[in-house]
Amino acid sequence: MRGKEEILNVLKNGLKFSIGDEIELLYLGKESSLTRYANSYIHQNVKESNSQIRVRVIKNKKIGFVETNNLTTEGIKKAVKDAEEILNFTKEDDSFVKLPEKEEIKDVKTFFDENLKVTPSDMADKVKNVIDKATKKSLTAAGALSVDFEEYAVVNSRGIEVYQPYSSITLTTVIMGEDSSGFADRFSMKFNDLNEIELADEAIEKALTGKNPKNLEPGKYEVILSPYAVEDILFFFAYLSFGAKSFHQDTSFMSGKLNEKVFGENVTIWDDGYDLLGAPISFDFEGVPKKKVILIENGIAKNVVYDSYHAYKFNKENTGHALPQPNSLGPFALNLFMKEGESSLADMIKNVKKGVYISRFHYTNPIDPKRVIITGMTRDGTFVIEDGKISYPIKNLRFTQDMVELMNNIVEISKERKLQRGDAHVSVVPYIRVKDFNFTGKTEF
Amino acid sequence: MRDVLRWIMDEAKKRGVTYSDIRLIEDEIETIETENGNVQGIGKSFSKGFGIRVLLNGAWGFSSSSKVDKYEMEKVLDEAINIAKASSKIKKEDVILSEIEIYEDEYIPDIKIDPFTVGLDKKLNLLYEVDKIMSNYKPVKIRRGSLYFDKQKKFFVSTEGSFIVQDRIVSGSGIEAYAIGDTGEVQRRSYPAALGGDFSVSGWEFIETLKLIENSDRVAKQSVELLKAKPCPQGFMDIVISGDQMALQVHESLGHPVELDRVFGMEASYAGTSFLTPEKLNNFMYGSKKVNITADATIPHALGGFKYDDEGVKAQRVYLVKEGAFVGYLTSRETAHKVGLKPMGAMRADGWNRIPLIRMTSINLEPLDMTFEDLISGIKDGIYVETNKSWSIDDKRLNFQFGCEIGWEIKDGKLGDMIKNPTYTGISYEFWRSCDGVGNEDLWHVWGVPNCGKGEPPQIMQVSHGTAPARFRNVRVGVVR
Repeated sequence: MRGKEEILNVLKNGLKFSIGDEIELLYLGKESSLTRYANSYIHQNVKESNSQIRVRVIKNKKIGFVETNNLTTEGIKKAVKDAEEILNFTKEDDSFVKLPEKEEIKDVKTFFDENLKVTPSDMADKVKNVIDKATKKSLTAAGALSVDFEEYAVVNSRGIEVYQPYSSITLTTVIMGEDSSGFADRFSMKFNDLNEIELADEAIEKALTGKNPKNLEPGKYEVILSPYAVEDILFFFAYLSFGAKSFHQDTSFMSGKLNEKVFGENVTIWDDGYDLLGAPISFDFEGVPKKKVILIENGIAKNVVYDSYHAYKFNKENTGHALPQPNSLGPFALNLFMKEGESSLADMIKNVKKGVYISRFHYTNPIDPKRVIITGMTRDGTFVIEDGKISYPIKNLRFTQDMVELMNNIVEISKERKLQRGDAHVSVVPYIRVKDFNFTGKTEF
Repeated sequence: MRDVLRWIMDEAKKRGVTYSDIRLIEDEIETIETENGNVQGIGKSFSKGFGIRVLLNGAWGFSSSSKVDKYEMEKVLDEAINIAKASSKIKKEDVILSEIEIYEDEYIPDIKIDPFTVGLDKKLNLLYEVDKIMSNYKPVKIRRGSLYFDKQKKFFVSTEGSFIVQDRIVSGSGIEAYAIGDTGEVQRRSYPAALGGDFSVSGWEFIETLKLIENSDRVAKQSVELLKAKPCPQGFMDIVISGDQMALQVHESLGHPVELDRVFGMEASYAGTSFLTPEKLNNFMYGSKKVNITADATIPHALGGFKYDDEGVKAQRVYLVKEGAFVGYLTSRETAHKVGLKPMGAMRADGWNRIPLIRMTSINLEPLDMTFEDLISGIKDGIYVETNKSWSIDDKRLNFQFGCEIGWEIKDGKLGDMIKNPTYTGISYEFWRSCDGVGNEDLWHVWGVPNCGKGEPPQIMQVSHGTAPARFRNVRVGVVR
């Protein structure tokens, strides 16, 4: 951890090297420890420390980018010079207006000093607690525990000067029996708040109840999707549909459909970087404060998210959703929330006469990005529900599902929601009960 | 710096480690992307750092840093040792490494034109020219082009005496056209392959062989034609699959399941395990007699090629599948010892801050004797598909489903009408057992795949696949919702 003063000084110093019209320096620093276990022992245990600066220089609407992990004065001077060298060859981007202006940033606490005291031995002990619980049930444990410290900072020639430190703890596990498995993960900002016992219990319960899975023929079934699966679906909407770039390029299912009903009336989805129920972050990778954006309200398409480039280009409000530049994805909703319903999971199961409970998806991929048709497999616990009860475990199934249609087929949403962390995003999502879910294949386990 | 690298390994020995190695890497990357005639991004990145791996008390520790000096190396070595000690609190058995030959060597690949000496104006003009040609088609609303260049110097030094320096230059490029119809339907065509194009351990001369300009018109035209093409038929049919799609088929259904760390459950919590369990080695028909698959890191210019892996093991060519029989794994020194095999050199890390994992090298479906016409002429009613659009496979690598950008009907041994959104699905070994024809050497090409993902934290690896078009019987096609 370099700290606010040192990082901002390095970045501010970099501003002076530019002869362009505008300049932005983004700092991304990370110290990460990861303890990975499989077959109930630690097989990989690593630590890394790296810091990068991304320089964006603009002159006469020409833009150049350079990234370096040489943070010496000479290193940054060279990066700025190299970025300016690019300007000699690139064309003007007429859609570029200017870098974002300074806005007030609300404080949100995202760093907890106590995590700095965590040792490799502490991490091994937490992992051991999971392994011991699995071993007592004659199961094996695999997974990973990571302790991450990140620092973000942005400085630009229009006065933006922001810094945020971030600490996070993530623990995942797959508990395996001979022919069954169960998954659980947890995310916390404090090491000691992360309850590995509860996590182990959740995965063990699935692994035990999943023994001796039977075959189920593919077809259309009513399903209950766990938050792990719902998070997967929301990620694809964020990736394919909720950003201004795909929206304006007519490659989003929401293109041309603002203020039209696109999902069922029971579906409301928004992005909020400040909500403490999620994993808050004050500003985006251009230093612009995160704004709450209602994406879908009672089934009606309301908004998409913007960064400075697309906001200026389309005369919209910058919502603070820039990714590190350059980026071909455009702005991205990284803090998604799906509105809770009234039901409990138990009640949802009771309401199913014949259906399938899906614990988790695996290897999902869009076969039609615009229509958000996704294929993937079930994994780590799939069960038949009969007459309101979990009846028996089944072997994994392949699905090929139109996710827009799925969002119109939700018949019940749980009150309980879970915080899920993906590779770069977080979401807070409930269980959902969905009719006519489309299974298209099966496998051998 | 060479003396410092030897010194830190001596320090590791003094601290009583069983084994240690250090990798110091300097990397320079240039990416150029255009979209609709504008520069989407020109980026240059520079990275330098080192990682130290330690085996102590029978367990692994690893630490790394971007600060390259003696003091930091000593600090990182001590961190790695502490981590190894923590690992050893929860172990089942001591890690034992297979014996290997020790090399002191320097390797510089055969590169004709260093792409970093080619002017940005020349690179951009190539992409602008492609864009101009594709812009002749009005429904093509999104036109993309990209160039990628990577120059790396890597030092590998171990306590066993290895001292290896390897240079590497990678060049790659791809173009895409997205046609959008009146109803909002989107169709994409890519060239030379999907997922960024084609990549090679080569210089600028590789970009010139791709003939991007010569293919731009066809790519744009086909994306428009797809808007009006027939839907993919549904049912069980004979299918011929293009070489670029076969690369991904080999990758997902054979490349990953033969990674021996995955077989032993090391990836269970993330990407999954494998159906190719050790008792199947030399005792399982993976495919038909027509199927021969090798792992070959020695192919000149192959993206998955190198001279030494990240454990200092010399590059090799080995069979994974021979005349249909499953005969080999991708291994590390640790996993090879567990099954009594000789390490075949598949350990690679995607940077100085990552530990090496078992990764695909160049995994190749060996060519046979058929021309493209031979493959097609043997089908009465089927389809031919090209260029990947989507991919998915279960966590033991059995049930797969692929979507392709384009296809054509095959009727009475001849290509017929174009079809859109073709998909096919199957169980890996059943699918490969249905293979009854593989294209000849003239159709065979080594495709560079720059983005194979594996591990936690995620590592992206450059791999490759030598493939030709191949024919499969009675495959389920046209899976739609």
